[in-house]
Amino acid sequence: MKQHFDAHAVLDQFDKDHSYIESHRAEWLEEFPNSWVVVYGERLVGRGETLESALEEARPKCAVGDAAVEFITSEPRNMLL
Amino acid sequence: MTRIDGSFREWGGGEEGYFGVQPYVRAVVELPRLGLRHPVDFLVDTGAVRTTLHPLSMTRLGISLEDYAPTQRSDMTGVGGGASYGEEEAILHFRNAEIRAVVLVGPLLREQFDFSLSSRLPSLLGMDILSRTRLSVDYLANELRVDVHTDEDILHLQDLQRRLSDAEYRHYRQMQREER
Repeated sequence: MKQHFDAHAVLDQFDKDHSYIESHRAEWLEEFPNSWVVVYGERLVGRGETLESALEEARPKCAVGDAAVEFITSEPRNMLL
Repeated sequence: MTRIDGSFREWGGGEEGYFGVQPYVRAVVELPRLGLRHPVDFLVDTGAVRTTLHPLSMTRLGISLEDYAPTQRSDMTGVGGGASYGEEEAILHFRNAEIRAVVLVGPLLREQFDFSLSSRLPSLLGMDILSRTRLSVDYLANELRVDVHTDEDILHLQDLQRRLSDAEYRHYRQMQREER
């Protein structure tokens, strides 16, 4: 692992990828509700009904650790942590 | 002090018809022992004693429950019951600040939870880190500020706490707030 890295650059990309999810959320909700999505470089690189399957699809295309990953649903579960 | 800006995320809906917002901050988490790092969204949780990386973060980091062997474990209790977590030294790289902490990673036993649901649990920024900050939340203004005290600030305040009476220390802090 590199000793020094640019946290700003990683966070900037992460911000953009999350914005990309937000801008496509309504469309994806129609197309594939209750699915996990993986976005990197402002591209949808993985999708699946389980987290593992979405990451599996994304893995050859990007470093999934840096990707934005979200569950797309119209029925978010209320959580008491 | 160094300021970290957070954001609010909407949640709710469905049959419950309830909407709300939750405060989040974003950081790159580095786990030196495991040679891993990745960006994480943390729910700001003053009810959490410890900062915690939950299953979604573990999966993205490539930590598999089967292979993960923490050097230390902690048993934690929450509203959903008890669970065992691994402890990892971590560096949290925020945009304008860097904080070292020992974070929890877990829960470690998959059978304790429905993994498809626990994957949706957010990672938590707990009081171990928040106690080093001044946290300001204004929901109506959509403003979340986390001001991180420097190590020098913390040492200075701890020194004052030792030397002053409770009333004097409260007065000093009140004066500081008014100056701001």
